[in-house]
This record gives sequence, structure tokens and C-alpha cells, in this order.
Amino acid sequence: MKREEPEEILIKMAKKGDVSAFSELVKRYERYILNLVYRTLGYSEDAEDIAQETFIKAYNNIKKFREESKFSTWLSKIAINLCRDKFRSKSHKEENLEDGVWLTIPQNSYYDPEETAERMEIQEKIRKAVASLPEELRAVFVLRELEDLSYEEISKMLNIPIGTVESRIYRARMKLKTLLSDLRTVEEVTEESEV
Amino acid sequence: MRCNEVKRSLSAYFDGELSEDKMLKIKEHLKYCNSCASELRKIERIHGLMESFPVLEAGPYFEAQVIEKIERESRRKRYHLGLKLAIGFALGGILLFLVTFKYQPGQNEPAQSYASLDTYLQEYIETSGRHIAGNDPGLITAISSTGETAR
Repeated sequence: MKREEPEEILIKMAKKGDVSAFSELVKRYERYILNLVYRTLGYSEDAEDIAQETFIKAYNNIKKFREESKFSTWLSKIAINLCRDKFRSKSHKEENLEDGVWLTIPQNSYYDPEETAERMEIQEKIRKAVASLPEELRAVFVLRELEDLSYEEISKMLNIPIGTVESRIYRARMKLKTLLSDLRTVEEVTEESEV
Repeated sequence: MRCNEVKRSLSAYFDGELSEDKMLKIKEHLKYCNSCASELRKIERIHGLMESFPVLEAGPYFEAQVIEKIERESRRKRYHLGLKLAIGFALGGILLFLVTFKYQPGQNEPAQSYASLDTYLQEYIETSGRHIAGNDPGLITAISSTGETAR
């Protein structure tokens, strides 16, 4: 049954130990956190575990959450710290997309199997390129490009100066510019063939 | 503004994170500089490619698994707390038992061999009498001389 209470109410109830209220919060943020973890890690194998751990840690620490701040930012911070722990504990190599989490292809205007396969290939190249960025650049880039956070929000979340945020995003973009220079999206190829 | 300076700031310009003054200067520069305009287009392109970044769906059991783990952990904590309390009570009970019965009169004294039952009884009465009667010597004398308690 879908619950409609505003987030602040759910959080208040969760602080009192109401697990059912917390489960509604999980439902609302599971996709967001899962993808944040996936993009920050660069691979999918551990993404679901770490995303789940994020919510468990959030529940155990919910009393520490100050209601003036944004819940999504607080959750993101927990998620990113867990990703960092993962980097330190595991010398990861590039992982292929695995089962266990489900992959969604962005909606096309029509369904064409060949185009779908091409899109998946493009997606995989993009994922690999971002995954190849050094961890410190990748975290900042993901928060800016994929989570739409301002430099100030990123600076607060990661506890780094705004100047560092700006410089890392710049460097990430320069690297990706090179890595993805030969990648042509389906749209770009279509455009070129029409000229 | 010179191209070097502009190029370094294009990333922040694209994100709208520069002062209004600087934004206007760069906007002006871009009107006349193809090189910098081309750089900006590359940044825009990277941004566009991110729309094609693969998106994961949390499977249908994600939330249920999270809740299950939370509840399992809280059951485990309650169990351990219960165990600690039970052990605490048990230890407390044992301690209480020892204190109550360990310090009864005569029980701490080492076993002695008695010449006769009479001597044993005499000593026993005297010892008990000291505890029972406190410091009343009259009662003690009465007890030891008659061999039975006198009231």
C-alpha cells in the first residue's frame, strides 16, 4: 500500500522506531541511491549491497539526522562514504554489467532491436569512461552531472573547498572529452548521414 | 578576457557557478571566438552523453530485504540484551545465595575433633549463644551451666 505522508512526517516516525515509515522512505529513494552508488563505484556488482547498507546505516543513525538539512543529501553522504570504504578494501578491476540489478534503457520513441543494442553499447562505453576516472574526480563529477548538485552542495557533502570541486569537475570533463571523442551517439550518426 | 582564462573557466561557466560579471564577459568572448565556443560545445556534449548513462532499477525485493535486515539486527540486539540480563540476574542470585548462607554462625569454623559429644554440644551452645544473646553475659552463663537454654 502506497503511503502519501510528507517526508518530514515519515522521518519523525522513523526516529521513534517506526520501521514501516522508514520502509516508505526506502521505496522513495532506492532508485536514486542505487544509481548514485553504481555511478560512483563505476560497476554494478556491489551496487545493490552498498545501496542496501546505506539504508540500514541510515536507519541506525536516523536520530542523528537534523531536520533542517536535506534527507537526500544526508543519504547520499552515507552512500558515498560506503563507496569510499569499498574502494579501500577492494582493489577493483573493471566489472562487466551483472545480473542482480536490472538495467533500464532510456525510453526510445520506438523500439528497434538494433538501435537498442547500439544504445547499450554506447551506454557501456560511457559507463566505462566514467569508471576509469580517478576516484576523487569521479565522485565530484557524478554528483554534478548525474545528481545535479551545486558546487556548494558538493563542497559540503564531501568536505572539500569549492575551488577543489570546480577544479576536479574541470579535470574530469577534460579527461572524458578525450575518452569519448571517438564515440558517436546514434543521434550524431543519423545527423551525419542526413547531410 | 583572454582565451586561456576563458577556457579554464568554461566548465564553471557551463555549470552557472561564476559571478554574473564573469558570466557576461565570457558570453561576449564566445560570440567572437570559435576556439572557445568549440570547447564549450565539447563540454555540452559530455553533459548530453550522461543522459545515456545506464540506469539501474532496484529489483522488486530491494526494500523488503532492507527491512528484513533491519529487523533481524534489532532482534539480534534484543536477544543479546536479554541474554546479558539473564546472566546478570543469575550471577546476582548466586552472589546473594553465597552471602546469605556463607556467613551463618559456626559454618566458617574449621572442623574440629571432639573428645565427646558433650564437649561438642557445650561448644556449640556457647557459640550460638554468643550470636543469639549478643552481649548479655547472664544468659550465656545460664546456657552453659545448665546445658539447655534457660529463659
